[in-house]
Amino acid sequence: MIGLSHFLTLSAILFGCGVATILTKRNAIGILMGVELVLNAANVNLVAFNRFSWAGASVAEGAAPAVDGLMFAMFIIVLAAAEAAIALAIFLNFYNHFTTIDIERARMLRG
Amino acid sequence: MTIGLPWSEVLTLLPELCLLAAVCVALIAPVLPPLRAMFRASHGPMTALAVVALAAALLSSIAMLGGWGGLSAPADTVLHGMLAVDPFALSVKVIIYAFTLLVVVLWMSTTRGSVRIADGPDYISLVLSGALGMSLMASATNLLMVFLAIEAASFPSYALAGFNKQTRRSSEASLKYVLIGAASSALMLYGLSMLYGYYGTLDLIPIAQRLAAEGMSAGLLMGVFGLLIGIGFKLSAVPIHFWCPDVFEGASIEITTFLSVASKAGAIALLVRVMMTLGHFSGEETRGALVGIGSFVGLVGVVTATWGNLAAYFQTNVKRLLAYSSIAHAGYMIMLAGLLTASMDNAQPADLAYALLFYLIVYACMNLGAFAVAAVVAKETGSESLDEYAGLGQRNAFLAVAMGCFLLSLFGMPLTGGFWGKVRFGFEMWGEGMWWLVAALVVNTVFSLYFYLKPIIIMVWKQPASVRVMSVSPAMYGVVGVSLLGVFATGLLPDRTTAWAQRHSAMVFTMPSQSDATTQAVAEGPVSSRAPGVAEVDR
Repeated sequence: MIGLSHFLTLSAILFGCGVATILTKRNAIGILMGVELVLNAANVNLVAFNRFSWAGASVAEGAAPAVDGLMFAMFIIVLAAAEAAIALAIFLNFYNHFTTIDIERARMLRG
Repeated sequence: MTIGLPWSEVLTLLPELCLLAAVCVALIAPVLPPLRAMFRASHGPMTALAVVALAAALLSSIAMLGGWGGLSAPADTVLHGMLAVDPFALSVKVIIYAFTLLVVVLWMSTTRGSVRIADGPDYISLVLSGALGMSLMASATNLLMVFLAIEAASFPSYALAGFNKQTRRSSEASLKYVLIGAASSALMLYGLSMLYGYYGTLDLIPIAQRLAAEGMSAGLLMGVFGLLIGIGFKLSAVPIHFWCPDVFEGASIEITTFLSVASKAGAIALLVRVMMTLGHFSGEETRGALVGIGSFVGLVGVVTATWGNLAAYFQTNVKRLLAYSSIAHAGYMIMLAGLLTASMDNAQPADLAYALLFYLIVYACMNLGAFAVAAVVAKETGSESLDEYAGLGQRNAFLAVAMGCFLLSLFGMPLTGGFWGKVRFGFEMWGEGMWWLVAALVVNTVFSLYFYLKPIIIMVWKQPASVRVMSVSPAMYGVVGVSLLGVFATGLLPDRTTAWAQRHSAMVFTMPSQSDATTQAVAEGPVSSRAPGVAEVDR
């Protein structure tokens, strides 16, 4: 049966892929995709913890099922979209100046 | 728990609501046909809107702090534990709003011409929503709110750093800023999801209470570490500091000013609140771990301050120099935040929030002043190089003397506020027995003398290319004058500023009258507050 540990393993794999992408990619959009992987790892964590650990616990105490984790995940999804919008606008602006979005070329400001 | 919100709770967010209303007006009004012509004609109406909104936010937060006009700081968290509108948060908000107001004046009289009139509303709404996010950072007591506040402060900052679309430097600065910001906020979220997994709640206070009852866990360490990454990014702590000089150099100078103080004030307030909360509710078995976390934060502060001071040696661009200086000052403040739990001799965090408030006031004044002079010089000469400061005394004696005072205050010269800020820090660190922090503070201050003196030496001894008199607008005299006043008021009357800071540094859980919801679980463990003038939370 699929339980919490499976989801946590999935999220750990996502997290690892995301961090590896952030560290190795030289393309700005590639890095942004790595960031999205890490964000989704956090989302999987939150939703799985909510479902397996805490929703039942609050029902057992006679309260409505806890939805903190689900809510947090919703906010992350919305803010990730906003972040992508801002980041892509900035990448486009960078492209207009440098005709590339290779971050190795961002070398004007140093020291 | 009731579902509805009483109006009294909504009213405690009056300052934020003022800013939010102004952001909505700035976004909607310019597209309404009757008003479109007015907003297309000049920057005037937009600037006035920003000034009015910030003044209203400033006044309402001062009123709440002083308890005027029926407003008061609530004794408990508001919005179901999302935010704490306590005196500490309100004091930080006063600093942020007053500072942002002066930054808007600075923008008005120096760099406003570089923003197209059609872009004015976007610009103002970004500045105001940035200030809104930064003030929420000072209040957040829930991890969801922490995340939202950090992002609400960050997104406008990314856009503002790249607002000048014509310059390559600006586009590069915003690219670095957004990538590092996105990566650090994602890592922070992974840590926060671990905290939720272990504790089943997102409220900081219950998490701290559960921690005290159950001891440390790997999840807590991951969560705290993630949180520190998110806050450390905003504070430009080593090793995620390298965006700071690039963004400061690439962004327009008023944005640099805004980010150097307002953003760091919000972030350090959040860090202090997290550390205080963790320490306040700690128990016997968690003390060692908290001392470890505090020492780690203190060490990050030491490394940050040292790095900032050493890298500043080689700078020839005044904005870059001040950027490294602001990294160093953030390092000093992080050292103090670490001290909160690094020295828990009686299982209580030392009540040092007042020293931080004092430092923030001084830091805001001296940084604003230094950047204001730099903005005038950059506007007049068209260059940000330190060489432009040659013979500044002959071109405008007031600016030269003021710049000298700000730089010496940043160094920590006696008679200026910067001296007393550092003395307060050193005194408290010594009092808590953290001699290595005192040593780091002293050594760093000595290190920093050279690069703060460098512009002064250039001003005094180097021959200028031209001695054309620099004209300064009255508004800029006002901004520089207010900053000078702040630097010397805190420098000559340090006791009064300290007394003010001590009266206004209480946090929600150290305040005398608490609602039952937050104190019931405090029953186990001796909980007492060492804050002067604050009654003990006695169960």
